[in-house]
Amino acid sequence: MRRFLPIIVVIGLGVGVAFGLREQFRTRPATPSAVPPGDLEVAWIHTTTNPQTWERFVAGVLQLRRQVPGLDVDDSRAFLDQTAAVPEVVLSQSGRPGKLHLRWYKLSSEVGNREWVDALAARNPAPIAFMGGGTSDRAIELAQALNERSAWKGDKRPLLFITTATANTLDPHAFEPERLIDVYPGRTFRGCFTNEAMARAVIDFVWQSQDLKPTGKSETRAYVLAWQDDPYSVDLAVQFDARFREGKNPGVPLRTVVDRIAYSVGTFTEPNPPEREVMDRILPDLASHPEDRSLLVLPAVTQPARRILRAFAADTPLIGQRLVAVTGDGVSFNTVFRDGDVVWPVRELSIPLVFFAHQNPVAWAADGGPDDPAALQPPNSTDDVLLFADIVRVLAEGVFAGEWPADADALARKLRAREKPFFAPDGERRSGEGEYVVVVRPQFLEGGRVHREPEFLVYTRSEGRWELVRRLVKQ
Amino acid sequence: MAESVSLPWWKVVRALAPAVLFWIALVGWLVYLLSERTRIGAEADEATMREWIDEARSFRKTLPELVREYLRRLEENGWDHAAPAVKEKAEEVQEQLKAMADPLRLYQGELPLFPEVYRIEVRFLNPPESLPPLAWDSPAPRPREQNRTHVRYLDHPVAGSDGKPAAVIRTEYRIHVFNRLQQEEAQRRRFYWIVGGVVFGGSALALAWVYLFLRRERGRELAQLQAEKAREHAEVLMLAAKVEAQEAEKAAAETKRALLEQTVEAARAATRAAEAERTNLEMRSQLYASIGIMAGSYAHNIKNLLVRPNDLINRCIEADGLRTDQASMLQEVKSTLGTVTERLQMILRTVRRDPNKAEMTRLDLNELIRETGKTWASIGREKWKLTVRAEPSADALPVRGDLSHLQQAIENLVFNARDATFEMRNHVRDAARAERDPAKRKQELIDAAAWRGEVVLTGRREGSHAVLEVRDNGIGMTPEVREQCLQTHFSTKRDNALYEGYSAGMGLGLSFVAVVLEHHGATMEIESEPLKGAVFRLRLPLAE
Repeated sequence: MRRFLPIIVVIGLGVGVAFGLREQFRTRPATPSAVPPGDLEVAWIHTTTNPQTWERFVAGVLQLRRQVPGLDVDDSRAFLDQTAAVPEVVLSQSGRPGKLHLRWYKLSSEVGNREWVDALAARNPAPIAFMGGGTSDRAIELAQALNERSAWKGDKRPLLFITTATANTLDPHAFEPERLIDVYPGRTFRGCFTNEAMARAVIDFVWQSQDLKPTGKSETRAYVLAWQDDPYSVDLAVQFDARFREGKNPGVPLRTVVDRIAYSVGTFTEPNPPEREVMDRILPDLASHPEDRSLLVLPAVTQPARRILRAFAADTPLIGQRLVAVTGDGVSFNTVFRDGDVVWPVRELSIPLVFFAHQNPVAWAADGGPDDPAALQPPNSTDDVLLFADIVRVLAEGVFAGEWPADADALARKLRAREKPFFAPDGERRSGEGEYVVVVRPQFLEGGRVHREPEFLVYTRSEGRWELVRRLVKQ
Repeated sequence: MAESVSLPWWKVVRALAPAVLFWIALVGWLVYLLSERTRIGAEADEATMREWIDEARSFRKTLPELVREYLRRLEENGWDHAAPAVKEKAEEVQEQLKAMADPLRLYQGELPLFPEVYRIEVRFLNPPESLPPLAWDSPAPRPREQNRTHVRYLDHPVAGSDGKPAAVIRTEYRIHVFNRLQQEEAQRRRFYWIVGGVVFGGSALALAWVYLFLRRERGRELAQLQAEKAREHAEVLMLAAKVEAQEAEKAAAETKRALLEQTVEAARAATRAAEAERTNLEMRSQLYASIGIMAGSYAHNIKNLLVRPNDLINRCIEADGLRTDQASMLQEVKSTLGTVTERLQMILRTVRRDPNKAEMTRLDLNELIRETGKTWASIGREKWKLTVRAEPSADALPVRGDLSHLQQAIENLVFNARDATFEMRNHVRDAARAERDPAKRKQELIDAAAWRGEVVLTGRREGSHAVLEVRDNGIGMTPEVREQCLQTHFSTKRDNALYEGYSAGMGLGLSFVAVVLEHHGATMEIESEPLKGAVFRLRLPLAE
């Protein structure tokens, strides 16, 4: 037996090494990247299935090369070969040793907001800030995860920058609705406008547009749909309803009908059963007032909104002449303009649509070209890029201007002490200017026909009045 | 030629086991990689489908997330799938299934980018089996019988809130319509089988070759080792012989060293003996000196005692009336007493002389030669059996010197000459005796008996010096003896039986002569050869 002992030992060692290596090479879903000493990291949390958003984010960061003199943007590791890797954009400024790493930590079915928060909190150093909340439900989840996490490396809790989540509250029907900005209190900053600001801007615009505002003999109607599985939808519906109830509509009284839809899941074309149920209630009501123009409030993302509008237009092809759909930022300019021929065929969706944009969607630059990553070229919308640029610029100025922030608290103090405030004291984006509204107006022809291309109108508010920025019609 | 060595099988197994195991692991790993490589297309398809199931969202939530929500709602409602809230969530899941499948239906025929999905079914694992699965079925017909193999089934687990599998999403799909990759994989599989066979067979052959090679090499090594061992043994023997030789050399060296030590010891002993002899000689010199003093004292007393007998003898001789014979006897007594007195005077002169304390007076060297010859001629003739002859110069040879010292120095030379004639006589006699021819021996013995020693004292004048020669026909001297004869205590007569009874062999005579001559400003030349006698030539400055 002793003669075979060395062989057994060798085999045992081999098996042990193999198992050890197997553990070493095992995939770890939530593995944060290391932060070089002296540098800072901002964790951009976003879903894996939206690489386009990361590309637009990087394009927004590249805008800073033009906007902030002396700021260097290194995007050499922004687009990696492995889709499961952690890409990053690095900001630095000549004369400063420290760098700011903006990294995309990807949300997948395996790794959610909470898992990333836990993993990054355990790493030394923890991020100085998280950036995320592409949608309101994910923003709520991220804010809750950050708030519940008490132990952080360095004992400094990071900041939260909400990018495009607009919900004001978590549950507006609650007895005391909790504001999203207060879920992670005192450390949350929102770079976009809120649902309240959007609803106020859209309604303000509609009220000023004679060809869009609701009409009726004895009353006007606004049908408000609210998808209950989407906090953004519920909150935006409440904000629209609240703005309607403020009674700023001059003339005929407005009747608001709020319909709740259980969930948003559905196909590309057909309404899901709860949606069908709601439509079955609205369509007869609309049919009973053929001379009136009503508002259809669709606080939803593209797919549910499209399903509803398609179902309305399919039921009554010329319904767009007496129904105006309004929404927040759930429908993007890219959806209706760049991808409109596929995603938003106006002949199928022949209802005027008014939606909100956080930045100018048509700020295309005259210089540059398709090969210039920083160039803003049609037909891609520019609002998302410019919004990201605004958020990162404010963040970069907070990091690189003046004294290097030692921690998140120092960064928060610098952000609040800006000479030209970007955030309100509670962390919300300051509103009242800079909002944009886009109108997608089907062109009705004689004989009940609809032109295959709609008219796109982009407005912005300046000193309380809405001014046309650009009118576009595809040829 | 090396002898073939047979090894026990278990030794071969033990020796080759690590290599064989490593080889099996390597080949196994290679087979695994190759087999994985041959179905990389199917794996890629499965990975695509899994990613689609995991990540596809119709509204923010993926199918697994909705399934988990459904399970939570079921749990909240006591696993009652008929509860309205559960039904609503089931409906939402159904919508998700439809939303996932509809785009694929929209682009049916666009394989492989848009798989044809025939059924998506969510089966629940832990709840009661009565819980119906949630499924979406395509209205499109399944492929015909001959294409059934193209339909694949993918079971994708869904983890519950506790991380354990709670449900399985089974998808029936077809993803390819004309898959060249599949064809290539089949070709590759066949190729890999051949490669595998070649690798395996080649490896087995290589292993066998290695075994035979090792066996042959082992035989060679064994032979080499044996040769090496034999050579080492020879070297050991050689080294042993060398060691023995070295030990012998060492022993010889030891012996030599011991011999040298003995020689040294002998030399030391000789030195010590010489020292002892010198000491003995000194003691003897002192003794002789003491004896001389005593003898002088006795001689003086005896001389004094002889004054009265001489006086009485003279009175008797001068008395009248003596008969002739009486007068003759008295004359003989008187002569004898005179001789005794003379001898005592000589003894007194001898023992009282000190060569370093000279009393210089004007002397006639011819007279000294004459006196010495007269003194020793009769004794030489009667007792020593030799001739002592004095041949003074016709010219006067006045010198300044101590009479006693010069007399003693000349007598020492005479005595040495006497001894040399004794040795020569013995030599002649021994040589005669050694002759084997009796007639010749007889004649030579007669000649030897007739041989007579001769000592001649000659004086002459040479320029400003007076020359005195003492010549003998004695045994002579070798050059070595001639060079050392003036050294104090050097003697050729010591331990010589010939001189037993004589006060000779102390090595003081010639050194005394040399000291005396030095005090007189004189020199001495010695001419001598073995068996040819010797001449001692003294040169003293003439006194004006």
